[in-house]
Amino acid sequence: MKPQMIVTLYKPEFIEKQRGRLFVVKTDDYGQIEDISRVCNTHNKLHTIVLTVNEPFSLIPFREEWKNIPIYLVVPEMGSFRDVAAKLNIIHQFKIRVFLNTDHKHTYTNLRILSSIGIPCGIHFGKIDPDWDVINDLMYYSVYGKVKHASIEPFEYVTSQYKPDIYTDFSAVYFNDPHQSVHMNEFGKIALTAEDLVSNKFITDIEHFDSIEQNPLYKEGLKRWQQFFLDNHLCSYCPAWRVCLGKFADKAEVNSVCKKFFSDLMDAADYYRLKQQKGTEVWQ
Amino acid sequence: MPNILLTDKCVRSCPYCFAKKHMNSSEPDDTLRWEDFIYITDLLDSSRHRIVSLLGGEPTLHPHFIDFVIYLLERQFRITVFTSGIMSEKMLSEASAHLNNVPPERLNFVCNLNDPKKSPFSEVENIKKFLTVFGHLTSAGFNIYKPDFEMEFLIDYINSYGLKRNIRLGLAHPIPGVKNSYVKIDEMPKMAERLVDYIKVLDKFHIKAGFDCGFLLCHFTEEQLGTLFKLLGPQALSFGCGPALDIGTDMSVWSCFPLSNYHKKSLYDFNSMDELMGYYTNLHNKIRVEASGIYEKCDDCRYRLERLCMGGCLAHGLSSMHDEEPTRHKEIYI
Repeated sequence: MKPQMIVTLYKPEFIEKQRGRLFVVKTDDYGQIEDISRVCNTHNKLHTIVLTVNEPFSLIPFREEWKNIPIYLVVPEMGSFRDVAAKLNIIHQFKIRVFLNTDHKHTYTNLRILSSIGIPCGIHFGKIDPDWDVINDLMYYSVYGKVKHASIEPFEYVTSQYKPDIYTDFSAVYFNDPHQSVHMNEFGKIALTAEDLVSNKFITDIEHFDSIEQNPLYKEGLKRWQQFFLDNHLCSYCPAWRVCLGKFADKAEVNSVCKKFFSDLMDAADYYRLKQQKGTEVWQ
Repeated sequence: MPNILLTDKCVRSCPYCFAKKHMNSSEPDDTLRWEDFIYITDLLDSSRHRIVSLLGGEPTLHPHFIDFVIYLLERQFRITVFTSGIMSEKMLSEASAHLNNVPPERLNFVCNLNDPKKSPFSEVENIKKFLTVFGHLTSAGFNIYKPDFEMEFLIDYINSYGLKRNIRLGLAHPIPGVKNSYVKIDEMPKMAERLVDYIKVLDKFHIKAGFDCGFLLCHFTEEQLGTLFKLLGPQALSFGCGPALDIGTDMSVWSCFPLSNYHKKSLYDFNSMDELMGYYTNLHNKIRVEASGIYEKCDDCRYRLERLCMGGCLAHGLSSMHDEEPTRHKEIYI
């Protein structure tokens, strides 16, 4: 299947030349948000703006005009709760998901707070090894919580997309799953992932995007995970491989705490799947 | 209405403190974590409890006190904060900025007031500052712990700072195994007489009083009951003693401070507030079989059987059995 989304930095002159594409636009300037929406939706379609700013969520100057624009907001921390609370009326009207960086010590607590007051949010994995026990607690809250709350990614993606017989790649949450999206630089060159884009590992260019599923480099890239098995990597023995796909092979101590977390996440996904299925019992 | 303890720290040491035993057994820096606070809120929410009380120690000493209140308001709870009113200038200023405009039907402070003549000057000054800012959201709380108590100062506070014109009247209770000041059983009628006199005075100032748990119907004469009914109305007259659920900073749970070490459980042992309430109601009922009330005559009292009066505080009964040989229902002694 061909990827639908093109992830790119905001280059209006380039986007305006395209027709009928679906864009995910990355920016670090909230002054560009309305422009991005207008430009992308003229001849193409905007999927999401990924706004990465180095300010706490509480200090973002939200504007009424952002109301109908889907935004992924990547920030280092939540900031002051009372400042967030003061803006809740407007935030609740937005199509926004807030990602907090795991390098900040209060991120897991703050994600729980945001979720519980109805703000969709997610984990942005930072440079420091994640605290898997705490992530596990957060996952339990997200999946098994007693009352309705906003979703927390990537738990929401894994639990809602999980199928026991195939892999579930939550890179899609971060627009980094080549089955769904590819990354493009300012010259129209296309890479499979954000990491490939940074390393200038391009597979094609925008002119050939429509036939990308025929591209041998693309097809090969989709099977990159097989290398774990060829290398006999410990991750390939992990029971939770199907939802992790070795994403933390170079960070976490393999087969220890991350295995426990991802195994619990799979259990949670199974629980969620069975709960959904229950509604369709014939006898009911 | 469950009580959530935000911290075990307190700035006062009241002679009647019924939380003393719990406080003494806690770490001094115990505070409720955000995660646990959200868990409790979710549990209340899922059990359809929309009214909650925040306690301590002194709840305003919790570093997230203001955030917790804002959070609960956001989650559509009605909140009562039990406070001494003693807080730092910084906390008072921040609380004023964020909470002063909350409608009184959503947020209520019960300021536990002691006689200013018997309190340190700095404490009284702090309370006055608090009442200056939050008087319109505050009801006075007063604990009776001796039969010759005085209440005139409450009228001064209410009139000077525009407090709500009702007083929450508590009766200090014994803590089984701990020394604290409380009205002894044989002093109760004297206390009742003085209380009715004060209620007549309060009425002249259009101030009502409401009884907290532990008062007994038979402590008042027929005439006194008639006066109370006339001046306070039937709603304010309560002679009950039911499980008031307290949730500790470590997520332990118990029913009422005087019984804080008695069948303490973890909140995680229960799936809903109804289940939790059911557990302690059942336990209290078992104790009531052994000690129906604080007097022997409570056993066949028609008012107790008709549940117009619960026979006083359970702690009195338990206290009397504290040192006896374990010959009763086994749960009494755990």
